Order: sequence, then structure tokens, then C-alpha cells
Amino acid sequence: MSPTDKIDNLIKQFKITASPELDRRIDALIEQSAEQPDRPLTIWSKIMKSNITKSAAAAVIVIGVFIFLTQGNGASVAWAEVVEQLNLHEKYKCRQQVVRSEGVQVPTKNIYHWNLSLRRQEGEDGNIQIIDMRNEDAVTLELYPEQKKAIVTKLLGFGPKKDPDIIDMVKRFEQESTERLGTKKQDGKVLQGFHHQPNEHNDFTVWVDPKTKLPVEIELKHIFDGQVRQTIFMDEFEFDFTLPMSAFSTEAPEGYTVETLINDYRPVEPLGISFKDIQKELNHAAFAIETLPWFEKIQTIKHTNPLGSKDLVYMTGIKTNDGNVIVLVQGNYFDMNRMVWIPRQDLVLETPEGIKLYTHPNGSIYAQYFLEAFMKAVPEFGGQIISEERFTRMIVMPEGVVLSLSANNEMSTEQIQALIESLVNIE
Amino acid sequence: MMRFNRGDATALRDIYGLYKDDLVTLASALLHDKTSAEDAVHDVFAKLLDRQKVLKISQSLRQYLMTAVANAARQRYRLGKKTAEVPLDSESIPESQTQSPPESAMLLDEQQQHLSSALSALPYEQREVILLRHFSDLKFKTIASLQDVSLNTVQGRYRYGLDKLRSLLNGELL
Repeated sequence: MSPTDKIDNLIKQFKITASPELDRRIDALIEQSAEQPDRPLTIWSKIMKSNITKSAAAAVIVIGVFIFLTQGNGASVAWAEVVEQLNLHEKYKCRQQVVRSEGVQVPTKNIYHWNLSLRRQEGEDGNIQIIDMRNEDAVTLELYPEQKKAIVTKLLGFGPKKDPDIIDMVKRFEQESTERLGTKKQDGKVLQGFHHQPNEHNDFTVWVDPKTKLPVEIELKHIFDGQVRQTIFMDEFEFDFTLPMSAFSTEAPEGYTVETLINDYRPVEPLGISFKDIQKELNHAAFAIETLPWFEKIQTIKHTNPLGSKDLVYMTGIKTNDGNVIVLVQGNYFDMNRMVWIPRQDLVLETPEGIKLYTHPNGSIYAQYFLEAFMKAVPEFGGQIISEERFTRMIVMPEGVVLSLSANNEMSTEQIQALIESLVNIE
Repeated sequence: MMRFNRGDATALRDIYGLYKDDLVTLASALLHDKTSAEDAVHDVFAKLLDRQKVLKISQSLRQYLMTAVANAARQRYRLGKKTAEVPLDSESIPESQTQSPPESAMLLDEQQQHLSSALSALPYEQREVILLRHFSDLKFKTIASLQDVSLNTVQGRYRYGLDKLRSLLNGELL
């Protein structure tokens, strides 16, 4: 047998079986189609006698078939097509409702996203918030029209920042890990559903209009300890809305009483913090880092939490001789009593001394915020481009104290192990 | 097919039952991803229903469906290439969620896996010619019209593809 014949033979033996899911989808397609255009034909054949009524009925059927064709059976939308469409529309408006299983409920809002750094939120109570993080000093404006009151909050050194929103997360779903949910009818439209669970804490359902290939509804469930603690519903989407840029101004309108608040996110004391200083201020054990041969530079600073809370944290930056920047963070309440979610992450390393290293569910965003804040505060560490390799690991010491480790570039297991073994409890 | 043309949509169920595995196999071998492959087959059947009354098929039904699936797969391949250019921040999604080798979903035996991997290493157009020729039994002339290129180009793609396939399989199967 010639090689070509052998290839022919092999290719002919190829067999991949259609999944039951595809059988179900095709069945649904056929049933949907069988329900629609043919029934009037039976009635026609029985009751229509004259040519005029036949012609009139034919016209009705032509219109009916036209509507059926224009509405279509809805050729299936691939998830990649939804992502492609979303990437074409940066500006969007949606209604966002949050349902919490307990605690304070959040009012429903209409949110206008200009981009990831600028948005306007209109509450159902009439209050408005503008959040502008495009510049080094971020600004928020809160408007209370009933009281004619405005609160301007300046967040010094907080920006420029991109705040990843739910649509940004949705865009990252990969085709292979996004499951189809079939179709549902809503307001006369047939929507196609997709499901994606990137980790055990987040569960997304997205319903898409097959014509526009854009989301019509998004539901995000936040799950902790196996319970849905919060569900965010987004609907009433309007992509490329027409609201003018002036609607995003952080200047208070005329006639409003203005209260100005300042939150300073710039480094409190960029230089000269010692590990002993940390120990005095933390409500649990603090750790010093013994210098390793591959450290080029090490510096500790005290800083407002770059994630946006007003807590203070201690960040130790390490510049390595292979060009990496690593930031270790310690803070009050960085402990297992507070961070109960950590053991549910992937355990990536455990040292003989019992130090455990876990992944972080939003590791790259977390790493970006800490690396950017540190490099801005200590210019000698600056000049690094934030890398796509960046990652975060949570270090759990045997006594339950937690430190976070963010690095700009990949690190070998040996490097990470040496680093966490160099942590010394400050007596 | 006559039942289908007369408006009997359920005839499509019989057509689907008869050819579904062949169509999914072709699309999977072309796209190397079973989810996208099944989407391509679904697209073809959705379009068939849309065009039920006006559809005239002059070739064999199997060949018609194979050609339609090849067209739908090519569209999806091009779309996939475009969206892959969008930078993804994979860190925010745990790696275990994103690392799903397409082969694992296909459940092929070892020999077929070798062939599947070798086929996926070929440029798309060469892979398409080889599969349409050997799996779908289409003539070069039909493939040329499908790819919108000359007969010589198709034969060239076939020859190069076959040579590369032989060297990729490197005596393991041949």
C-alpha cells in the first residue's frame, strides 16, 4: 500500500461522534421551524376558494415567511463572535441590580461606562455618581439632587487606573471553557445563553441577542462556602450610548452646595521604614526579609492600600538581578481569620517549615495595582513595563499570618521557595 | 430531500441523523476544536432550514453538506484567528480553566491522535484540501471552486500538504 493510500485509509477511519448537546440543539431548531410557517397552509386549502382570497392569503404568508426569515432560526452564535462584538463597543450603558443574601442591599443603578477609567452611575433614588480615574489624582462626584448637595472626593495619587468591570471579565471568557445553555424567549426575542465559571467563587450566565451578538442579560453569582452570597444582574444594555461627555464632568452643577473631601493615596513615608517599625504597628506578627544573593535592591514603604481601601499597608519591593520586581505586602488583618477564602485557592507550594503558598483569584489585577503603586512611590524601582506574566501568590505562615507576593515576571519555584524561607518573624 | 423541499422540516432530522458524525468529524479535523466544530454544523442546519423552500441541490447530499460544513468551518477559523489577536489576561482566570487541549475532547485512539495532531500542524488551506479529498471524496475541481483558487493551486496545496503530513508522521504510522 502506498503512503498516500495509507493516509487515505487513516483519514477515512477518522470518526468523531456528534455530542447529545448538538442532537438537542438540532432538534430544537427543527421543532422551532416546524411550529411556524406551515399551519396556515392547511387552513388555506380548506377554506380559501376564490383567487382573490388566495392571493390575499398568499400575500399574508409571504409577509409571514419574510418575518420568519428576517427573525430567522438564529444561526448559532459562537462565543468568539460575542467577544469580537464587545471589543468593538467600549461605551455601554446597563442597568445593574445587586441581590445580597444578607446585609445591606445595594440600590439598582443605571451605569454608563465611557471606558474602564470613567463612568456615571445613576441610582434609582435619583442620586448620581461620576467616577473619573483617568488622571493621577482620581475624582469622584456624588450628586444628591433633592438636597442640591454635591460631594467631590479627590483621591490623590490613586490614578490613573482602569477598573476592570463585568463586561471586561466577560470578554476574557475563552470559547473552549464557555458552555452553551440553549435558547430562551424574552420580549419576543430568542436569546442564546452561555455559561462560564472561571473559578469556584464566580459563576456567569450571559444571554446574547443572536442578531447583534451582544449581551442582553448578564448574571454573576458570587459564591462563598458553596452558597450564593450575592447576585449581580445586568440588563437594559445600550452599546455606544449617546450621552454627551459633559454628563461625565466631575464639576458640581450650579446651585449645589459642594463638600470637598481629600483622600491621599500617595505614599505616606516612601523611605526609611524598617521592619521593626512594621512590627510596632501591626496587630499580628510582622516579618523581615533576609537579603538573598540575587537581590539587587530592597526597599520597604508604608502606603495606603493600592486596592482602594483606606488601610495602610507595608510594601517591601525587591529588584532582582534578572530584572524582576517583586512586592511583598503586610498589613493589619492580613491573617487567616479574615482571609478565609485562601485555603480554597490552589496550593502551589508548601515548605518543610509549613509555609503555604496559594494562588489569588484575581492575581494579575492585584499584582498590577501593587507593582504600579510601588514603582510610582520608589522611582528607583520604576521604568519597568507591567508584564503579562505578572502574578500574585498568598503566603500563609504556619501561625496563620498572611503576606501577599506580587511579581512582575515569572519566578522559578526555587526562587519563590528561597524567598519565603528568608522571611523571619520579627521578635 | 424531496420531503424536506416540500416543507417537511422533520426530514432534516433524518438527514442530520444520517450524516451528523461525518460532518462533526470533518469540522473537528479542520478546526481541531469540537465545540467550534459542532457550532459550524449547527450553523449549516440553521441555514438549511432558512432556505428550505428554495434549496436546489445538484450534487450528492453528502457532498453538499460536506462543502457547506467546510465553508462554515473556514468562517469560524478566520473568526477565531481574529479574536485570538485580542490580548487576554489569563492570570485572572485560573490556568486549569483555560488549559484544555482540544484533543482531549475528541477521544481519538492513539493512531488517530497522531494523525489529528499532524493535520493540525498543516496550514489551514492544505489541511482543508487533504480532508475534503480523502475524507469527503470531493474532486479537486470542486475543492478549487470552494477555495476560490485555480485547480493548479489546489493540487499544489494537496502535494505540499501530503509531503508535510508524511514527514510529520515520520514513519510512525506509514
